[in-house]
Amino acid sequence: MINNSVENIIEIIDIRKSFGDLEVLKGVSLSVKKGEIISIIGSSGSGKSTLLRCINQLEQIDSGEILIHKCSINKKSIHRKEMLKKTGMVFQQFNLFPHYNVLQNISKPLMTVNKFSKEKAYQLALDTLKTVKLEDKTDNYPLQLSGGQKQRVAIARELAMGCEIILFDEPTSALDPELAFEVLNTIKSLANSGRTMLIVTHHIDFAKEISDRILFIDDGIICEEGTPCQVILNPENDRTKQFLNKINKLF
Amino acid sequence: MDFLIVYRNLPFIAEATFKTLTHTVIAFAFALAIAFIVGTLRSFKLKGIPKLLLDFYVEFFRGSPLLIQLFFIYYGLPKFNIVLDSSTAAIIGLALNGGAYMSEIIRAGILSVDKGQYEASYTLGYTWLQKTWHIILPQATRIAVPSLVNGFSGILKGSSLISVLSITELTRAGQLIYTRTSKPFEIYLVIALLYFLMTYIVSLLALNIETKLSAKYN
Ligand SMILES: Nc1ncnc2c1ncn2[C@@H]1O[C@H](COP(=O)(O)OP(=O)(O)OP(=O)(O)O)[C@@H](O)[C@H]1O
Ligand SMILES: [Mg+2]
Repeated sequence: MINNSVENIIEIIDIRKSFGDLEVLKGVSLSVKKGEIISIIGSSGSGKSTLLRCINQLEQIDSGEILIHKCSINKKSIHRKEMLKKTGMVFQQFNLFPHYNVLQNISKPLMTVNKFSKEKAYQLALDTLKTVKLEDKTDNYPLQLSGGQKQRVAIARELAMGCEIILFDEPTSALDPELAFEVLNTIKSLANSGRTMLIVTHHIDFAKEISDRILFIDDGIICEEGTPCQVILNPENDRTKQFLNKINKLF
Repeated sequence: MDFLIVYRNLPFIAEATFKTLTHTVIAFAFALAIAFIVGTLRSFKLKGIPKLLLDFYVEFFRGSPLLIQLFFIYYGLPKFNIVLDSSTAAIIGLALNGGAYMSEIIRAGILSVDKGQYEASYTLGYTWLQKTWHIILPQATRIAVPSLVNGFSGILKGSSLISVLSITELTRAGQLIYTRTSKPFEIYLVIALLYFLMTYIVSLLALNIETKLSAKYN
């Protein structure tokens, strides 16, 4: 459990985001403590991805404010670049670099962005690959890997970059159940690493097990939030109940 | 049929072939550089004067005959005190013309790179230049290789037109031998075969590069 005295690493204050006429985030506020693991659940189109993408500046918010380490990350902020380096994202579609082999997928960004020497980057890449148990795949290219292996490389890439915050956008949705399981295990193994993680997922059991807190997002607002026990076992909001019922029938 | 004519002129033909190749290779190198710069810039959402200029360059050089472009550069530019020797004018003409076509190939290659690649590199902290150089262009180039090789063949065949600037490359050599010997069938057959041989070798080379690249990550 997370200690209350720990500082807020992310502070989201009443953010709104529209695509054209469609308002996708309708005033979302959220404080995340350092090291906290938060799962985000909600039905398709409710704005889960958009929320993560706003935190990572892949989308620009229309109003409100996002602070990381108390620094604003809007376009004008001088700390923006620095703060963005502290956040990493794991995508549903992996987005590995197809022209790099596994080792290079991790070491090249270290060399290009963090200015590591080649030796240092290779060493760190190898060490990180060991933590996701893929040290025997260093020379393979992404197309020669299974989906689960690709996603573990993508996770290793963010770990090696030293991200304090990792955003996972449905990291297992493109995978067969078996492969999803191995990726979820990898994520679980990071739970005690002190990293802050926001995970959009449809695996309710996984969310229950790993999270300090669960958010249920519906129609662009945080409808319900609390500990896994509160949200999953004793939801208060009717929409949360409906959603959980639907999910339980599906899985 | 009298292929002895060809045999007797072999050193002359060899020299002319060499001229064709040097002009083509140099023009292709410049065209590649132009294509990468212009193609990359145009794939990026430019605005205002730079966009107009680049759009005009590409459309103009693709939309008018190479022959006229060569005449313009060699005979027209001296009006502005830009006097070029025939080889330089030929290379500039071929490079500008080929560059306009090939920039579209690069641009299409860049546009075909998955959006996720942009997002991943942005998320990792790549700057625009780093992203373009390390992530986007290598993938765009891989897609573009077969078409770029076509670009080389295009310049090679287009170089036949620089004969009008009195450069004794393969086509002009053929004309000269023909006027001396009156054996058009033999001489032009051999010259056509030589062009074909060169483009064929280049396309084999491209196939080789392609297989090597896709063996790596396809
Ligand atoms: N770039 C965009 N342009 C226009 N509309 C968008 C864009 N991105 C998302 N949307 C719309 O915003 C809404 C919320 O999308 P979002 O991807 O955040 O949903 P989600 O909760 O992640 O859903 P899912 O579970 O299906 O991934 C959807 O209606 C979607 O169509
Ligand atoms: Mg989504």
